[in-house]
Amino acid sequence: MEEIKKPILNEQTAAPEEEMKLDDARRVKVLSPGMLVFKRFIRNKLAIAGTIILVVMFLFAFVGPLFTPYSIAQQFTDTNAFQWSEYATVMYNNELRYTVQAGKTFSKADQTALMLAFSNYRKSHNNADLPAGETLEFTSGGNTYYVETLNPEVPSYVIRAKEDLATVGVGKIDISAEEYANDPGLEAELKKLSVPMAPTSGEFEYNGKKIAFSGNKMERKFVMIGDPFVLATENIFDSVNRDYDALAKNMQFCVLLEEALRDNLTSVTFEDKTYNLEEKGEDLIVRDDQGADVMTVSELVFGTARNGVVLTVPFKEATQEAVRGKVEYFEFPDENGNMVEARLHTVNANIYVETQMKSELVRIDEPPSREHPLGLDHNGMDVLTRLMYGGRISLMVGFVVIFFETFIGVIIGGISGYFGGWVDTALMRLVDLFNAIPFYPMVIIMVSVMDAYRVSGYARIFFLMVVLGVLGWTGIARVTRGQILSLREQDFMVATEATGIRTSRKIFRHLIPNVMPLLIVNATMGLGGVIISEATLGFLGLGVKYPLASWGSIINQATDMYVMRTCWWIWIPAGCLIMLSVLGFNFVGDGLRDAYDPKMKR
Amino acid sequence: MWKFLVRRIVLGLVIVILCSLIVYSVIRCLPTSYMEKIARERAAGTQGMKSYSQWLEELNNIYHMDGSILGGFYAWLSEVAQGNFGESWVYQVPVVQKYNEVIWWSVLMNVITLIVEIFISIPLGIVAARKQYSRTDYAVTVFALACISLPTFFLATILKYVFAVRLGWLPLYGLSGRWYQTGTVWYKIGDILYHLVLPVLTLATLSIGGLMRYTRTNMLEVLNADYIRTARAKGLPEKVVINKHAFRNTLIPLVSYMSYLLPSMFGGAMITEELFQIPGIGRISYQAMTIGDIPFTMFYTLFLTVLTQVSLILADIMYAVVDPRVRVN
Repeated sequence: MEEIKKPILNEQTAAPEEEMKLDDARRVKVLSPGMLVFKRFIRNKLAIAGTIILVVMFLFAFVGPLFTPYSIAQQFTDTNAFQWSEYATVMYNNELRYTVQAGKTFSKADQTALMLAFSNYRKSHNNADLPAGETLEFTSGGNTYYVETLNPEVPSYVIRAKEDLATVGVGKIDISAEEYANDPGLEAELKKLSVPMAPTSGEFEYNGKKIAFSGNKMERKFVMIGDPFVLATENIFDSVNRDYDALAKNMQFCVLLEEALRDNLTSVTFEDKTYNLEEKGEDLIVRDDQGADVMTVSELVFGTARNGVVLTVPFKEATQEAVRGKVEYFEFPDENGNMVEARLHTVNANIYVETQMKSELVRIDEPPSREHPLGLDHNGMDVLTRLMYGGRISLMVGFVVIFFETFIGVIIGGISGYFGGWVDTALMRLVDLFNAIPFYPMVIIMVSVMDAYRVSGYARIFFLMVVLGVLGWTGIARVTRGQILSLREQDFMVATEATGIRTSRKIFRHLIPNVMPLLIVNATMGLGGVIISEATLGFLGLGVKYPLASWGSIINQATDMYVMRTCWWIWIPAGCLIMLSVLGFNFVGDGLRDAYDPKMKR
Repeated sequence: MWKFLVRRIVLGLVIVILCSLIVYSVIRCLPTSYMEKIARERAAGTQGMKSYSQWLEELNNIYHMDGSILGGFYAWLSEVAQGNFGESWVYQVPVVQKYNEVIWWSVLMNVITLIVEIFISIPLGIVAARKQYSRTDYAVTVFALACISLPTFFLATILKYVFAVRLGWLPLYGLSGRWYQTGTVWYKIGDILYHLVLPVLTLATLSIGGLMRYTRTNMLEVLNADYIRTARAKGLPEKVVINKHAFRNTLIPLVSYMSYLLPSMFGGAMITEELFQIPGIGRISYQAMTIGDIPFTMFYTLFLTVLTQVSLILADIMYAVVDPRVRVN
């Protein structure tokens, strides 16, 4: 069917042509100058490519934002994000902690003396610690103390002091220790030694206590080694709650527990109460007879890292187990009995127990996904959306600046070219002056001034446009002047002179339309340059400020080494958009130049 | 000719002074904390019995910051006329000394760039002009336009990303490597050149487009001239026509174009140097400018404007040297 139709169509179109005469008006197709330019433009492939790029860019920047569901500075956060956060801290205690009996003192100086005694002992015993059952004597502040190892595994020690018991003279017994003040048994013992013939020094045992005496025939001093009054241990006695704080600080009870730990006892009785003990490795859990937790004894020091958190015994048990077993992840029951996942995070000697906590996170640097086709940027904002809005600002700045430049340039160049003479000279020197101002240094200083006065938002963009415009109009002024100078010499201007029309009409009806093509070409080519300048300022962090965006300021994020290395989706698309639109403007400008005047210099 | 030259130089001088005035008045709007800082230091020190405000007043007087802008500018200008450019506020050394320290890195980089640029763009421009409207011509034109359209910072970042981060062939930034201090002279030269590859690549790519298009345009014009037709008509080989008759005549505009490159040669490449952390004049003065270091910025802009004027005058002279016809007019 189609094969038959084709020749017929050809005949139909061919037929009228044959009839047409050579000078037929229809033969000579007269095209308007505008149409000619358009036809030449259309024929240029590069120009068409540029036009397509620009149309796409404009649609992207000005229509695109209507379709994006997000706004320019919308920050995306993840409210359901779980993040490991510190719950408690754990530390191995490797210092002796002192529990002193109520009413007695064991000062810092005494502790230092003890340490000194230990180190002296180690020096003389090949670095060996004090074995169990042996006693070490040391003095501090005029007092003599005896330290005795309770449990070398922890290690824990008890300290006794040498106490004055009594002074015995001839027929005179003076007992100074209060607890023996009215002890007839002791008095009887002392009486035996109150006679001059008795030995002047020696020791004896009374009620299981060693009593030593020394002196002369007339007076003997009796001293005894008292009950343990300090417990020095690396274990921590940690009460479950305030009610048991006093118990945890009670020296006798602590000693009892240490002994129980050493002897693997399952219960101790203290002040008529029975406590059940559960041994877990090197730790001890103390419960009362009802089975309620009382305290823990462990080498691990716990501290809370979060407000309002009470560290429960089950938590401590689980943590101790994990720490000793060097497990990274473990579980512990919380107040309601639910199992909570926890993680151990070791930094040097500190161990942090972390639990997952629900927190609001800004989703920064998220790679592209279906929701966000170009991912999220370093502020957690949608890159695609910001590119669209940024394109608006970049293109708008470009257009306004170029319009501004052309406006100044046409006026100055036009006046200069039309009037000539001293006006021309003066204006051209002005152009020279503005041309000589170094562009980037000047822009950077001006923008720094804006920074100093905290100009931001749209006011900043406005000033930026003015700065770029004021520094960039000289090229257009020169071109306009040159064109008007050459037009002035042409016949049609002589004709306007002859017809005697108004100067303004001469300029606006006859000169400006003839300069127009050149201006359009120059403006199009200049647009690319303006966009690049604006983007460069944005990149240096001097251009459009957050939360507004421009293509340059989006790439500014790539100055962050991390973003540059790992997050290509943040900065590469913006750079490509700048490049493509500048390329588009250049292609179109090139095409327009060719189209307006094919003979013109390219 | 001499009359013209003298007039041109006087005009250049006036333009340089007016330019400096404009820059000076803008930079005076920058609030700089330099005076306050020095005054505070001196008041806190034991150097005298003066208080902070007295020091501040005195310092402002020394640096002409207390008077009007015009007065300050006049004071600056008279100092400059005596060859005294002052001391940089940021770098704490005489401006000229600092300048001398850093400028040669920029010059080195720019000279290498220029050589690379000339060797790539002029042959390409000639090829494009010889085969006008061919596929080669289109390719060259598109390439040139693409080079012009690239923003410096984007090209530099892309190059860094590809060659330094992804491939790891070239260093990310800096001018010397880890072993620079311990190496031999040859090692040092090699190290610096190795570090200059990416910056030079960036600068060359950006400038190739312009020169290439310029060469092509001028070559096209020359190729359409009558004497080329004559040369072809008398049966000269195409090689001779292009290399002897056409190219030599293209050199006239090219040489004048070269003189316009003078400011960029000594003015440094601000963004490239900043991105590759090359301690050249561009980077150093960028940092001085944003902080409001008046002596340094003033010297830098003065330097640039003088260079621009010199290059313009030089271009005029070059024209006269290369093309005897200009001398007559």
